[in-house]
Parts: sequence; structure tokens; C-alpha cells
Amino acid sequence: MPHTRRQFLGATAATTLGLSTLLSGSTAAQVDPSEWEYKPDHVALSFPRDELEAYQPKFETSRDARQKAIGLYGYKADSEEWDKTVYAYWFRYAFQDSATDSLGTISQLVSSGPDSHFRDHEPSYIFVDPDGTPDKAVVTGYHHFALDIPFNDEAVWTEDRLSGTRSHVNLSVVDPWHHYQTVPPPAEDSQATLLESQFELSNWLEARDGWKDNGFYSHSHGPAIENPSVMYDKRDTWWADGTIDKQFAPLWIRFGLGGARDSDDLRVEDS
Amino acid sequence: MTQHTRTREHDDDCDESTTTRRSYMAGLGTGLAAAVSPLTVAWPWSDPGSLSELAATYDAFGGGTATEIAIEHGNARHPSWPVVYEAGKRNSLETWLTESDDRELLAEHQPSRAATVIAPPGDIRSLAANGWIEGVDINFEASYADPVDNLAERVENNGLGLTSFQRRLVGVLSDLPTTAGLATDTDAEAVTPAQVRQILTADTEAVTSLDTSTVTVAVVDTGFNAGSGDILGDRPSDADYSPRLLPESKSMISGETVADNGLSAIEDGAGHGSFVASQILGNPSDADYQGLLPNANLLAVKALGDDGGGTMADIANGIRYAAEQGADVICMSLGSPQYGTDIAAALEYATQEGSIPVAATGNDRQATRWVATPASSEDAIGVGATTGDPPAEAQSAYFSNIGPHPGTTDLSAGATNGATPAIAAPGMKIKAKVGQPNGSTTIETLSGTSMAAPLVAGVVGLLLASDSSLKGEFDDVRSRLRDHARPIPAAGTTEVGAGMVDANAAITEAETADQSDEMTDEAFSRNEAYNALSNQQGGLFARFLA
Repeated sequence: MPHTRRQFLGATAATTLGLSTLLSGSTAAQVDPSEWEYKPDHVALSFPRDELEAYQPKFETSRDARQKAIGLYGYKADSEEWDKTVYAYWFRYAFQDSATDSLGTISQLVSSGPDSHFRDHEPSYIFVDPDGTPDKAVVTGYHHFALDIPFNDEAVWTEDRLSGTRSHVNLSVVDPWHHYQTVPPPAEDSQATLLESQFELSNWLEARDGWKDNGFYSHSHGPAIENPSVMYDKRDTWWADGTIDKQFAPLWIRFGLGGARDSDDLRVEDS
Repeated sequence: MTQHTRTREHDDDCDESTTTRRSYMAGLGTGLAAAVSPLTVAWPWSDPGSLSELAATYDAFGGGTATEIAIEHGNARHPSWPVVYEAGKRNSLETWLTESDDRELLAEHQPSRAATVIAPPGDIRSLAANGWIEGVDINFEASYADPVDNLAERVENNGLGLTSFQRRLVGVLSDLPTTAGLATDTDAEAVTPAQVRQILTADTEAVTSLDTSTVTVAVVDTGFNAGSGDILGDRPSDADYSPRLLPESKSMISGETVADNGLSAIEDGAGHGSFVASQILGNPSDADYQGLLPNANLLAVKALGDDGGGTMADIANGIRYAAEQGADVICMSLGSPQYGTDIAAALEYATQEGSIPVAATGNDRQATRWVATPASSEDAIGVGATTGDPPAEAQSAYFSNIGPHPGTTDLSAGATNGATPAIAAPGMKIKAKVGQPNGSTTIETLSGTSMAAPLVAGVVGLLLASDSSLKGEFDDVRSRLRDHARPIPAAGTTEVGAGMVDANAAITEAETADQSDEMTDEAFSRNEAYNALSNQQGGLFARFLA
């Protein structure tokens, strides 16, 4: 029996609630980083390279971003309880200018710490219907705040690896913060450089422990990382509730700080 | 032989506390360091995590104690840091390394989960705070224990050219111990290897009949010159060197092996390693210069440069390499007054892999005074030096470092508390036939604990040749040596440990008297003074906390 979109959302909500309760009863010090605290048992994570490359976004980048880029990492999340398959991608950079830097000296008061310039990793999740057609993309549109890109926005989806299916969303990497804007596909004679031409997709499932050990996700909402379905439309950010980044971002967006004026319409602005 | 009771020994065969220094260090963390160290610890505003006490004193603002001895790299002058990570966390370290162009992997040894990284101090502070990092030290230079000339020169030089940091650290010459009852250079007569064999009872039938070809000895030092084949002997007419020199012999500095580049890979411009190797393995045409293991195999590991210095990382990696190559014995005539966690980790790995490490205690009794690293490790047999006399007449060398280490003066956070020389051997005016880089050989005479340690390493090799079941049994070998050592009445246990190493007694398990029962009144008084001095420098407090 095919799952309805409502069923998909219902499963997501229940999962989020249950795992949040678990979170309140544990601390980072007690948790083995290699454990999956937030992944529901019914969710299967895997790395089918061909499938992932078929839905991989096309990232248009500057020379600066290409120099800072370390690699693109992906995984597939699937469940019998969902009516969507999620293809998740994380682009990792060696360095990122903090969004709070544009606040000048005040940034010292709101920055998440001296290492806020490191651990730059930018998500893009592609939600795909059972027939293989993308439903929508949810990507970081500004400082890990969600930007919805529906499939009916024909101008930004393009066909390449799947015949007859516009399976690739076209994204421009915004310097120097590395969040994404939607862009039309490059023209035939375009000089734009796509990141995928430089990086072969790597297995995020193998990299994940190392990232977690280095604090990549210490301020993130756990389920948003390990159970990508929660980002379908239940959360407007990958940040954990209560973090400075989540609390201050609406203010930064209002004042156009840290590249916020270069953002498309974010989910957080609609709420 | 009964256990002595006057001084606290740290050896495993001593019936005292079951708390080892290693567990003490782990339990104490860096808390004690701040309490008893005479130095200011940098980064007081943050938890140093797994950062060693020494590494924590590296100050990015130009002061700080480790700043003076750190090995820095590149235009940015970032230090290098030995790191030990938890099992299964190699990818996590790789992730950390790729976060910044300022971070670089200098060397690593995955079997022991050890790596040496170059990074800014602020980055290291954040790395050390991770729960999957077991230890972070700073890389600095160590050297072989300098051969000794005379006491007057030693005093005039104010302690072997120690850095201002080192002098401040140990309070050099502020309370110079008396030399009464100690042997100075004028007291010692030069001795040949043949005479040394007699002193060590290595000339008995039980010893000389042993087949030592089953033993491999690694010499971690300045390299080895084969002397056109006249040092190890048995050189085939169509070869440059004896097959007893293993082709896996390697320079940890260049990465070259003898198999790859011939003898030039381990060329010894200093001559120190060649001297040490000759003492242990020499088999030249002149029988007077035959070493203790004339048929054993030599793994030469060049970890020190021709100036006698080397990085702690190269030395630690040399120890690991020797263990991986199956060395039965590892001889280290080198040391540093500063503790190194990477060296300690490498020694622990080596003993787990089945090697028996032997190390010189150091030649700085008038300066840094206490047993040096790596001899202060629980995983090494620390060797003090005496005159070249039979035990009943021998004296402790005035330069030979002593115990019990207070554990508060070497930035070890108490890890070396209680460390004492395990045993002693002749180390004054020792003769050896030494190969030169040009292929010639010379007869040289040197003094130092550098010359005593190879003799104990040689006796360990003899013991292993007599009983192969002892191979890899570090605790049993150390106990056998100590239980069957000969007392040196003119010396204290703080100077010579269990006494003079005795090859025949160790092999035949002959009963010997206890060093602590045989000390003269003068030696006993000196012993008490050293114990009191250790206590004054925080040793008692550290032991109490342990």
C-alpha cells in the first residue's frame, strides 16, 4: 500500500518527539559518538553511489569555494514507513567565514566559539517520490536555515543522469558562507564550474563518526542529522533548539548580515 | 635475595602498593601538575584535557616553558605534537587534520595509535579537549647522554649547556650533592671489553658457550659504521657488511633503510651509536674488543643526528620500529630531563610487542640529577654507571643520575615519581673498537651511562640466549637481573639500584646478596640524603597523593 504524504509526516513527527525525550535524558559525555541516537530503527541508511549521483545537486561555485572545499559526502535514507526516499548530501569546506563576523566586535559575544570558522559543512536533502521523481529539495539557504525548492520550480531543476527526469537541482554556493541559492542551469557555453567536476561523491556514513568526534554536530538538532525526514517541513533549521545560532539568526536575517541578503525566501521567514 | 626496605623502588617486583606510576598518572591527570610544578602552566583559563604538563606550558604569546625547547616547523613556526588517539578513531584524527591548512601530519604509527602532527597551539588545545584523544605532548629534542670528561668542566659549564628553562626547572647547582664517596675521572681506570666481561662474569663457561645468534638487539642511537666489516666480523668477501647487520636497519630521520641505500642510510657521523653497538655486538679480529653478544643480530636505528640530538618523535618512532621488526632488546643510550608521553607510549608498545628496552639513566647528577627519560619509564630498565671494577670495589660514577625521582621536576605530572636506577654496570673510561664513516676503525675510550646501558642490554641478550622462554617477558627479565645482581657496597640503591649486573648469576640463578644490606655507612648516608632531597622536591607529597 503506497504511503500518503500525511503518513510520511506523521511518522516524522512521532519520531522526532520520541527521540527528543531520549536526548533530554542523556548528555554528550555519556554517549558513544558511534551510536545512532536519533535514527529510528525502521530507517535504513546506505550508500548506493549510482542512485546518489543521479539526484546529486549541481553546485555552481567560485574559485574561492573550490579551494576551500574538502569534499562532497552523501547517503540514502529509506523506510517502509515513508512514502519518500531521502538522498542527503553534505559539502564540507576547510574554512568558513562566520555569519556573526559581520557584527564586528559584537560577534565575540554571540559567536559559538573560537572554532566557529571551522567545521563548515553544508546540507542539501533531496526528497524523492516512489516513481523516482523529485518532490522537493531542502537545502541550507542561509546559515543552516532551510530553503524549500519544490520540483515545480522548473527553472532550477535539470535533467542529466536520469533519462526523462529533471533530477538535479541547480544551486549556487554563496561566498564566503557557502549556503545555497537556486540558479538556472548553466547555459551550454557557460564558464561556470560545477563542484561535482572536482569531487567524487564520498560515503557520509563512513565520515560521520569522525565529524561527530570533532564536534561538527555539537550544536545541531540530532534528528535533523540522523533522520533527514524531519527536515521535510517540520523544522526550519538544522540548529538545535536553544542554540545561539538559532535564536539570533532571525535577527541577522532581518539586518541582512552574513550574506542573508543573498538568500532566497527561507522557511523561517514564513513561520 | 631479599627485597630491600630502606628506599621505595617502583619496580613491579617490589611488594608495596599495587598502584603503578602509570595508573597514578592517569588518575591524577594534570591536577597535581598545577599543584606541585614550580612553573607557570599556560592556558590557565581552560581545561588542558589530554595535554601533557609539558605541552601545556607552550605559550603562543612567547613566554611559557616548553616554548624554549619546542621543535617548530615552516614559516609559521608551528610546533609539532605527538598525539595518541583511542582505538578506532583514526578517521576522527584525519577529519581534524583536514579542517585547516595549518594542520599537518608529520609521522604516524597506526598500530600504537600514535601520530605526530604540526599545528598551532590553539588548535592543539581544542584537539586535546576531545574525549577520543588519550594524550598530547610537545615534540622537543633529546640527545644521547653526553660522554663525560671531568667534573670540574661539568661544574664550570653549569650543567651541560642546559637551556635557561631546564636550569630553572631543576634548580641546577642550587644544592649540589656531595661527591664524597663517588668516583671521579681520576678514580677510574680504563677497561677493555675483555675486562668488562670479567667484571660482569660473562667469561664463564655457562655464558661463553651460549649461542647468541638467536638474539636481535636494536640500538636506537646515532647510527652505525661497519668499519669495513671489522666490527661485526663474518663479512662475506662480496658484501659490504656482515649479515648480522639486518637490512631493515633504518634512519628514522631520512626514512632510508640499509636494504634500500646500503650502509649510508645509517652512517654515524657522531660515532656514539657505533661505540654502543660495538660494546654489545662487536666481534672484531682482536678478541679483547669482543662484545657480549658476538653472534647476535644488530638492528641499527638512527634516531639521533650527527650532532647527537634528535626529536622525541623520531626516538619514539624508532622504538616502535624496533619492536615491529622483532627486536628482542632495545638499547637506548639517550635521554632528556623532560618527560615525554610519546616516548612512554612507545615503550609500553614495545614491551607489549615483546621487546626488552634498556636505557641510560643520564649523566647530569650535578644538574638535572634524577633518572632521565626514557630510563624513568616503567617499561625500561634504567642503568646507572660505575667504575670498571668488580662490584666489591666499584664506585658509583659522580655523573650517574639517581633516584627516587620526585616526579615533580620533569613535567610528567607525577608519572616518574619513584623512578630509580634498576641496576648498574661499568660506565667510566670504557674502551671499544669503533667503526668510522670512512670505513676505518679506531680504539676509543668514553665515559657515561651511555656506556653502561649497552652492557646491561648485552646481558639481557645473554639471558634470552640461555632461556628463549624469557623472550618478551619484560618483568621476568628485569626481576632476574635485579634478583641476581651483585651488591656494590660503596654505592646506594638510589645510585645503582639492585647493584652490578651479573651475567653468570642471572643465567644460573645463583644467589647473591642484597644491595640494600651491603651499603657502607657513607653510601647509606648518601642514599638517605638523596631520598630526603627527593622528598623536598615534592616526591613525598606526590607519593602521598598516589
